[in-house]
Amino acid sequence: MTRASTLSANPSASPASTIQGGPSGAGGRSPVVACQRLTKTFKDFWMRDRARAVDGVDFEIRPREIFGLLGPNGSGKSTTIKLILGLLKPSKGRVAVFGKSPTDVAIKKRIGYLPEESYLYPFLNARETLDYYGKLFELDHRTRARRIDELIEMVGLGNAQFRPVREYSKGMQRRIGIAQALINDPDFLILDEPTTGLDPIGTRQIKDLIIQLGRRGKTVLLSSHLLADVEDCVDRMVILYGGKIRAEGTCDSLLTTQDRTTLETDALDEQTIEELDRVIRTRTGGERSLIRVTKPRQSLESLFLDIVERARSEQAKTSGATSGGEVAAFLKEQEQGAELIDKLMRSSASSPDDSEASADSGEASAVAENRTGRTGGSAGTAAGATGTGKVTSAGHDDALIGSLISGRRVDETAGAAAPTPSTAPAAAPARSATNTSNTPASANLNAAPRATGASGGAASSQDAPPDDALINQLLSGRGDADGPGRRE
Amino acid sequence: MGFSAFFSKLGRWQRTTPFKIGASIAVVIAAAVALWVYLVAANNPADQGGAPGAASATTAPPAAEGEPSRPEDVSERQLSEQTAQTGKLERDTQVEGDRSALDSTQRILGEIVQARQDPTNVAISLAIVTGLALTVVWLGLALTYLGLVVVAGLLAWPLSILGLTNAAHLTLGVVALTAAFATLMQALRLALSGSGAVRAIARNVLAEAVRLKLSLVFIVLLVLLLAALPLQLDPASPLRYRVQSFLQYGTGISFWIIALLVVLLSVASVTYEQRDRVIWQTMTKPVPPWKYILGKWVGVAGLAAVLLAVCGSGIFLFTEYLRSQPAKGEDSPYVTMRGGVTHDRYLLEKQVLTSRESVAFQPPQIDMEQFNKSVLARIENEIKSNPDFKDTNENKARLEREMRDAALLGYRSIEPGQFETYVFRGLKKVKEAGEPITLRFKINSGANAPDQIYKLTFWPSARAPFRQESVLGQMQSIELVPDVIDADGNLYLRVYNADISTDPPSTNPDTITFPPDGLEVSYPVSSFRWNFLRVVGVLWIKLAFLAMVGVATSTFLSFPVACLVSLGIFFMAESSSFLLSSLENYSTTDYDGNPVLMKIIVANISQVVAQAFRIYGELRPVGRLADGLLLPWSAVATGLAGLAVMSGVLYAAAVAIFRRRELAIYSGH
Repeated sequence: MTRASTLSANPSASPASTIQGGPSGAGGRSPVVACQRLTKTFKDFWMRDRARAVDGVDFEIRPREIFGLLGPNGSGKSTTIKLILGLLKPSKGRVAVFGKSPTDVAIKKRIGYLPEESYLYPFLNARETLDYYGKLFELDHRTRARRIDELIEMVGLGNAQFRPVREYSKGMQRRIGIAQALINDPDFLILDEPTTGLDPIGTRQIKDLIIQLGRRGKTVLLSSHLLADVEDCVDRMVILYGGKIRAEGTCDSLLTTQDRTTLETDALDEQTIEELDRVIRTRTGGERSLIRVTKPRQSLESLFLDIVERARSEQAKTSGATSGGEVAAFLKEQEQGAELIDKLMRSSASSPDDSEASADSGEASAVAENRTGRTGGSAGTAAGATGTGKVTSAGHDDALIGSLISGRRVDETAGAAAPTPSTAPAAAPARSATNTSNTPASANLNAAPRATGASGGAASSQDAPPDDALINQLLSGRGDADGPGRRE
Repeated sequence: MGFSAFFSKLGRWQRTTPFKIGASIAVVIAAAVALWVYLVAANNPADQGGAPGAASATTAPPAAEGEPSRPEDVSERQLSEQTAQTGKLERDTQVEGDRSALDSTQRILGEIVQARQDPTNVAISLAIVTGLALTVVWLGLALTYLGLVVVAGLLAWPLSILGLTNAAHLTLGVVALTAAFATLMQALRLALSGSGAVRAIARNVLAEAVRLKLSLVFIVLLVLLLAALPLQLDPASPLRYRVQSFLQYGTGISFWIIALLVVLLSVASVTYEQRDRVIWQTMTKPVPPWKYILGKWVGVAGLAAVLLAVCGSGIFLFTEYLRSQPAKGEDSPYVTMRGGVTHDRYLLEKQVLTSRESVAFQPPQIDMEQFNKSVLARIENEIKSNPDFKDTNENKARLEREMRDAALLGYRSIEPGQFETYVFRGLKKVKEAGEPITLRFKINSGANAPDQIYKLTFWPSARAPFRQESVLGQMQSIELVPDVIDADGNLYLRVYNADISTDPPSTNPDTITFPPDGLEVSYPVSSFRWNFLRVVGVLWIKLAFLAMVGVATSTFLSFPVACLVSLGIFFMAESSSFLLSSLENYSTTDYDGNPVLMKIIVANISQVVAQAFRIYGELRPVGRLADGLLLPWSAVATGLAGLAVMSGVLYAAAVAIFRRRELAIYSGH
C-alpha cells in the first residue's frame, strides 16, 4: 500500500481565487464567447410568446478557460449553447464567438461541439462517421486517418469501429460523439451534458480529457446538471435557472466554506490528534479547535474503477466499448509548450518576491494554476483513500497551514501522487495527468491539489520560519496544547 | 491454408498494382480478340445464312423484287407494294426511266446489310463492357467479380438445363445489373472521396441511398424490372416491335422509378437530418448552407447518373443483342434464303434503330377577310338562335378559335371518294443528299371500326400514285424515294379516300381524319446510338432538376409535405404539355358567356404551372427514341439551359431559406 501523505489545505488560499479578483487581467484578450443581454423567446404559430428559454443573460468565456454552464433541466443551458452555435437566433441581445457572429462559417473551424444527445448517421460506422466530419473540416486524408485511429482508441471503440452506429449503445454513441467533436482539434470545445449515458470510467475519462484540453490552452464550455462533473473540471461557472443567471464565479469562490479547514494526513493515532488539537488551540488562543476527525472512506466510483481495472488486467473479453486508451496523441501535441508556460507561471508564482504579483498575474496564469491543482485533486482524493486521516478544524490560518506543508512533506506527497496504474486504478486520472507532466513541480502540484494553493502557502511558510519548528514539534509528538479538541 | 486465409490472400492480391496492371492488359486483349473474332465471323460468307446457295445480301438484289408480297401484316403489305423491297416501286421507277430511285433503294438495302459488318455498334458494346471491367479491376475487385460471374453462371446453368430459361436469364440479368451498379457506385464514391464539405455530404448521400431501406427498395425494384423486361417480349412478334417495346418500356420504366427514387431520397436526406437533429453536428462544422445544399444535390444527382448509366448500358446492350437476333422472315440474323432484306429488318434498321427528323404538313393559308366575314356571320347566327348569347370579345375569341380548329379539322379530313393535297416544306437538303424519306400516317374515323380496312391512294407530285391499306388508329410507314421532292424542297402529296387504281374507284364507307400528329414525313439525320446518348442525357437533366426540387422543398417542409409538393411538381411538369393543350380548349365562361370565377382561377393557375414547366414538358425523349425520331442537340441544349436556370433559381431560394432557418427548431416529428 502506498503510504500517501496528503495535506489538504484550505483552498481559499489558492491562487484560483485570483480569477475572481482579476478577470481584467486578461490583458485585453478578447473573450471566446461574449453574451450580452442574450434572450431567446420561442413563439407559437401565431407569433405569440410561448416560452422564454434564455432571459437577458450576460457572461463571457475567456480564452484557456473551462467554463461551466449549470442548471436544472429546462434552465436554458442547451438553448444558450445553440445560440452560441448559431443553431438558434437570439430574440434580443447579442452573442459573439471569437468576436464574430455565430453564423460565421470561419469560426466553426475552431469549434468542436457535442450535443446533449449523440445525433449520428445510423447507417455509418464509427470510422465513416469520423471520416465524414473530418472531411467537413477539409482535413487531408493522412491527418484524418491518424486522428480517427487515435480518437477511436481514445474512446475505446476499437472493437466496434466497423459496426453501424445504430447498433451502438447509448454510451458508445456518446463516445463516438465525443470523438467527432474533437476531430478538428478545436480551440473551443462545447460539451452539452457530455457524461450522459457514460459509465463511470467513461465519465472519468471525459473529465480527464476536459482537464487535459484545458492544460493545452483550449477553451471548454461544459454544460451539465451533474454537479460533480462540473466541480471536478471547471474554472468558472454560471448557474442558470429559468433562463437567468443566478450565480457566477469560480468553483472555489462558490463552494468553499470559509470558516472551516480540512487537513488530510496518514492515519493518526489518538495522541497525535490530541496534540494537533492542542497546537491549534495554543496558536489561536483557544478560539479554534478540531471539530471533526474522520477516516475517509473509498467512494463507490473508486471501487467501481478498481473492479473494472482488475477485469481489464485479466483481459476479460467485451464486444462493447472498452475503457479507452490515452488521450489522442494529436490532442496532446504542443503539450510541452503548454507545460513550459505553466512552469514559467509557477516559477513566477512561487517566487517569494512575486507571491502577491502572481495572484494578479492575469487570467492565463490563474487558470493554469487552478487547473493544474484540480488535476491533482482527483489523484489526491484517490491516494487519500488508501489510508489517510481527515481532520477538520474551525477557521483557517494560512501561516499555520503553510507551516504544516513544509518542503519535506510536499516531496512525500509528490511521491504518492504518481501511483502505477496496476496498483492504483482509482488514480487513473492522476495517471493521465502525470503522464503528460514531466516536471517535478508539476508532479507536486498534481499530487497536492489544495497544495497548489499551497504554492502561495509555501511562500508564506518561507516567510514564517517558526512554523517549521511547530511542524517538527507536531511530528515528534511534542506539544504544549492545553486540551483535546472536539472529535466526531 | 484455410478457405478464409486463401480468400483473404486473394483479396489482398487483387488490390496490388501489379495485379491491376496485369488484369487490365488481359481485359484489353480479351476485348480486342473478341472484336477481331467478331469481324472475322461477320465477314465470312460461309457464316451468312448457313444454307447452301445463300447469297450475300450485299451483292444480291432485293430479295422480293418482282415477287408478290408476303401477307405478314398490313404494314408489310404496304411496304411490299410501295417500298424498295417490292417490285412496284421499281416498276414505277422503270416506267418513268428514273434510275436514281432504284439506285437510292439499292443503296438503302446495301446499308442495312452492311450494318451487320459494321463493327461500330459491337465496338461500342465491347467498350462499355471493357470500361466496366477495367473499373472493377482498378477498384481492386477483379477476382471478387470474377467469382460473382462464376457463381451466377453456376446458378443459371442448371436452371437452363432444367428448361427454366427465363429464370436463368433473369438471374444473369440481375447479377449483371447489380454488379454494374456496385461498380459505378464504388467509382463515384472514389470520385467523391476527397475532403471538402460538398464531396463529403454528397458521398454521405450515396451511403444513405444504399443503406437505407427507402431507396434500396427502389434500386432493387429497378434492377429486377429491367432484368425481367426482356422476358416479357413475345419472340413471335416482329423484331422491330420487340425492340420498340423494349426501348419504350425499358427507358420509360427506368426513368419513372429513378425519378421517384430521386424525389424521395432528396427529400428524405434533408428532412430526416433535420428531424433526427443530425444536421446540428454538420451545420456546426465549417459548412455554409450553399455547400450543404449543393452537396445533397450532387449526391442525389450522382446516384441518378449511376442508375441511369446502369439502366442505359443495359438497355443499349440488350437492344444490340436483339438487333443481332433474326428478324421475322430471316433464317439467321440479316440473312434470308432468298437473299436480300426482310420487311421487318428494313423497318427496324430504317425506322426504329435510327434517328429521323420529322416534318409536318403546312396548314392551309386562311383568307382572313373571308374568315372574318364567316366569324361575323356565325355570331349573327348565334344571336338569332340563342337570345342569351352576348357579342363579347370573349365569345368572339372563342368562336374564332372554334372556327379555326374546325377549318384545320376539315383540312385534315377527307370524305369518301374525295382527296386533299398536303404540302411538306423544307426538304431541300434531303433531296440533295439523295436520302429516302418516310411517310408516316395514322387515320381516324367516326365509325370506330377497328377491323375495318381502309384503302387509300397516295399520289406524290410528279410520281405515280400508289395504293395503301390501313386500319384505324395505327401508325403506318411508307418509304419514298427523294425524287418526290421538287427542286424547292417541297413535297406535294395528294391523298385519296379511295383506291383509284380500280375502275370505278373503290371508296371507303366513312370520312377519314388525320390527327394533328397523324401525317408527317421523316428522314434519317443521325445514328441510333447518338440519339440514345442524347436521350439518356436529357433524362438525367430532368432527374437533376427533380433532385433540386426535392432538396429545395425540404429546406422548409417536413418529409410528408415536401414529398407531396415535390411529387406534385413532378407530375405537373410531366403533364405540362397535355395541360397546355387542354387549356386551349378550356373556357372560363359559362354557356351564356358569363365569366366563372372558379374557372378563371383554375385556368390562371394551370396556365402559370404549365408555362413554368413548359420546357420540361416538351422534353419527351422516350417516345422519340422508340419512334426512331431525332432528339436534336438544340432541344437538349434548350432543355439543359431552361432546367439549369430553373434549378439555379430553386437553389438560390433554398440557400436563402436555409440561411434564415433556426435548425434547432423543427416541427417534422
